Amino acid sequence: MGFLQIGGDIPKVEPDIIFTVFSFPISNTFLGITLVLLMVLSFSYFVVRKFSITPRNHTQTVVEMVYVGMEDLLEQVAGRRDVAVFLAPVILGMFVFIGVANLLSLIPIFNTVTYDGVAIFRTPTADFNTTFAMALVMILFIQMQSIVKGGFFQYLGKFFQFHEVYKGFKKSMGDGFMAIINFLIGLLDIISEGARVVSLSLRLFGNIYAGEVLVVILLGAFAYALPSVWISLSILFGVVQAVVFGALSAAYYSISMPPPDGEAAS
Amino acid sequence: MQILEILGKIGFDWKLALANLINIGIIFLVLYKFAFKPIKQKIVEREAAIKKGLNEAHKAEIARQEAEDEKDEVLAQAKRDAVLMLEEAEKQRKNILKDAETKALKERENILHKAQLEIEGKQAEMERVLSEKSAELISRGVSAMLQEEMTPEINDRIIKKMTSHGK
Repeated sequence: MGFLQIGGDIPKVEPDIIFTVFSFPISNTFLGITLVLLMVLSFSYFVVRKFSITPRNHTQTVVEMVYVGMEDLLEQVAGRRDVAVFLAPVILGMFVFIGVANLLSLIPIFNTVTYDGVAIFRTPTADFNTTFAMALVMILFIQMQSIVKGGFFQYLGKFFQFHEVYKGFKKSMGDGFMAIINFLIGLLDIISEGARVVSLSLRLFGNIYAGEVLVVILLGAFAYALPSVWISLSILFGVVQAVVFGALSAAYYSISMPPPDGEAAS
Repeated sequence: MQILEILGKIGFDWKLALANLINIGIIFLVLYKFAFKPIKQKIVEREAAIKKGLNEAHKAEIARQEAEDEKDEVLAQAKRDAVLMLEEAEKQRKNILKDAETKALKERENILHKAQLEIEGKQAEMERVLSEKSAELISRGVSAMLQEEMTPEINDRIIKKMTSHGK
């Protein structure tokens, strides 16, 4: 290892356990999430609390622009304003968490604070447990909303289309066979809902974890200029991944929701 | 089970996932309660204030238009009143002129009448004085012709006679 290289261990896939509380392990990603929580609390207490109806500083203008921008983006994705307004706090919460968590790893001292030789903090989104939990909660939230909005039997009817098969065969043989195909597609949708959890969580985890691995590799190759290019790109990727997660969640939500009364009638 | 094994290879541990989930849930609650809700509230309040302001501006515009219409109406009424007043004033002017003319004519006649009477009085007086002077001259002439001493009694008698003739 020469002067131009800085050697480092490739980050492990699983997080490091710092200590346990009642047999519950507290990992460095958990502490990373706690740090994000503290940052969010500080921002809410010191900045948002001082917001007024008439913006007195640029911070409020920027924050409101982001909020309204997210509502507009969700309206484009979901195609409905009421859905966008309802979803905005959820998706924006996810966006803020993922964005801040992704960008945390770019702060130089973030990964260097250690306890007993183990980094205390780790990028939360570089831990599959975090991304999986988020994706699972998001998909469960969407399924619950689908049941609340359309009713339990309409929700089940999306996956088990017995009635459509009956109606198809009553109409004609051809329609009956088409209804059987739709019935099978309905069953596949159950798997697809599960796959959404995996795809959402793996996409985010893979991107961020791979980024961290790449930084270590680049530091080992040429430590003084090359990594900066990737770190610069990581700022963009961190935000883009947050947007992708939020936009996909909104798209899944709008797909899962029953159509509005007017459209259903027509 | 196989899925859990596969997930375990990429670091999945349900305890860690649950702990992270709870922490993320708290972040969401904090964000919703202390950030997004106040931000949205401010945006809604501002929108309401803007809407209210626009409504008030619209009302003010309507009120201004009404005031403009009222002003036009008042001006038109004032013009109509002015025309009527001018017509009335013209009528009054003509009446006053006519009255003044009539009064002046009457006054002139009165003055003329008075002057006539005065002239007639003066004429009578002059005639009387003339008669007396004429009679005196005649009596003097007669006494001269008669060569007779004129006594006051004779003189008076002659004058009276003359004057009675003159009449």
